[in-house]
Amino acid sequence: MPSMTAMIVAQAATTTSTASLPAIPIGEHWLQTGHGLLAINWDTIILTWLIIAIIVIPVLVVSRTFTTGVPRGVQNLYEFVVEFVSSQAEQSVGERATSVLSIAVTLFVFILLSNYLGLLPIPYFRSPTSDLNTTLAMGIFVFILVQWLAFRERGFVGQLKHLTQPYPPFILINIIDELSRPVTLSFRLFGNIVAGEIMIVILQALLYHAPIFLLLPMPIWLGFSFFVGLIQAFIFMMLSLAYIGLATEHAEMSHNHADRGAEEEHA
Amino acid sequence: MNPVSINLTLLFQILSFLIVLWFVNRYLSGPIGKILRERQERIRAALAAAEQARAEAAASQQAQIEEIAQARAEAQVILNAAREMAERLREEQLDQTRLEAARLIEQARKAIVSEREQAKQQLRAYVIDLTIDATRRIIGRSLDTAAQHELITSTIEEVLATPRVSHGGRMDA
Repeated sequence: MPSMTAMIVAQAATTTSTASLPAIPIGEHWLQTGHGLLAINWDTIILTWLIIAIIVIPVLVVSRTFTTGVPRGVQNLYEFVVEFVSSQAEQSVGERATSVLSIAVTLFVFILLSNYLGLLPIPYFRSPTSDLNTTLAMGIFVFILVQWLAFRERGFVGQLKHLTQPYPPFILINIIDELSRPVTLSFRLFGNIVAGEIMIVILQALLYHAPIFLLLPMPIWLGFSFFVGLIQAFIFMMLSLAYIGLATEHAEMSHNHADRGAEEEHA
Repeated sequence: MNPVSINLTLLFQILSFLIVLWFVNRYLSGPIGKILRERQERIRAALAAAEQARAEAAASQQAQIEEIAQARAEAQVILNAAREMAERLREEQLDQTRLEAARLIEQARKAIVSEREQAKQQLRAYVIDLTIDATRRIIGRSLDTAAQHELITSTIEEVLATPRVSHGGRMDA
């Protein structure tokens, strides 16, 4: 993509014909303030707000014309997305699908559009999801949500008991399992998107050396990146729903076990 | 540059995500989800109504079929009764006709016998008169009327009682 970094790389490639290409710029930001933990990647934030605008403005325009009758125009698209996510949510969390529908829709739409933003041939555009802060933010949100639901459903003692299943020594493994979820969620998405963008930068740079033979890989890779962007958004949403479903499902199972135990004791 | 650097951007991104979550819930998935649920409920109600109407139609059709069958059965009963009655009437009419015919035949027979007896009596009287008249002419004088009559009658009775052979060889009374 002709983002600024890509153009720098391409320019370097043309000027240094025999010399090796400069290092691929991973994690570079064209607008950043501060240093270390206090740094703020304003480019990521601006592009994130661009995504938010892309989501918000059409919805604000169209939402006034939403009808319960026969849907028209863009409402068909919105209904398709919401219905698709709703059906997935129902499979994962059952009757609680309605309460987590907004979260699932937001995750899916926001990640999908963020993934696709980096594929647009516009300078300075890159996917917000190629910044670990974005993916980790959503991972942390899902983690907090899942923990809150688990504690609300099972209670503090119940959740502690759950963490000691099947035997008390497993508490350490279970805690690591819980903590690894936001990390795996974040890094999976981040890694896929960053890798895709790196591939695009490399293919762009190679175009200057052998354009005839390398014209084909670029559109193929762009098509594949569209597919990857969709799949990654879907995976993030489905895993989040699965974690939510596990948190609530275990609670129901433990309730059932408790009820059964009480009945047996009563008998 | 650390490619996986975590910094203050994380908080901004969490905030941004919460904002877009609130917005999506408020303006997109909330209303659309509600619309989908209402539509689903409406379709379910329409399907239930259609199913109920279908069941009612089926019940009505069944009732009609039963009524038609019942009407056919009743018609058959009526038809059978009418046939039986017609048969009975025909038999009665036939019996009555037979009786009437027998009566008429008997009456005709009696009339014939009566006519024949009457003809016999007339013939007998005529023969007597003829005989008396012939005898008077032959013997030239008149006999006692009562005695003649008695004599001739007895003679005729004897003649009639005696079997005779007709000209065709047939025995006459």
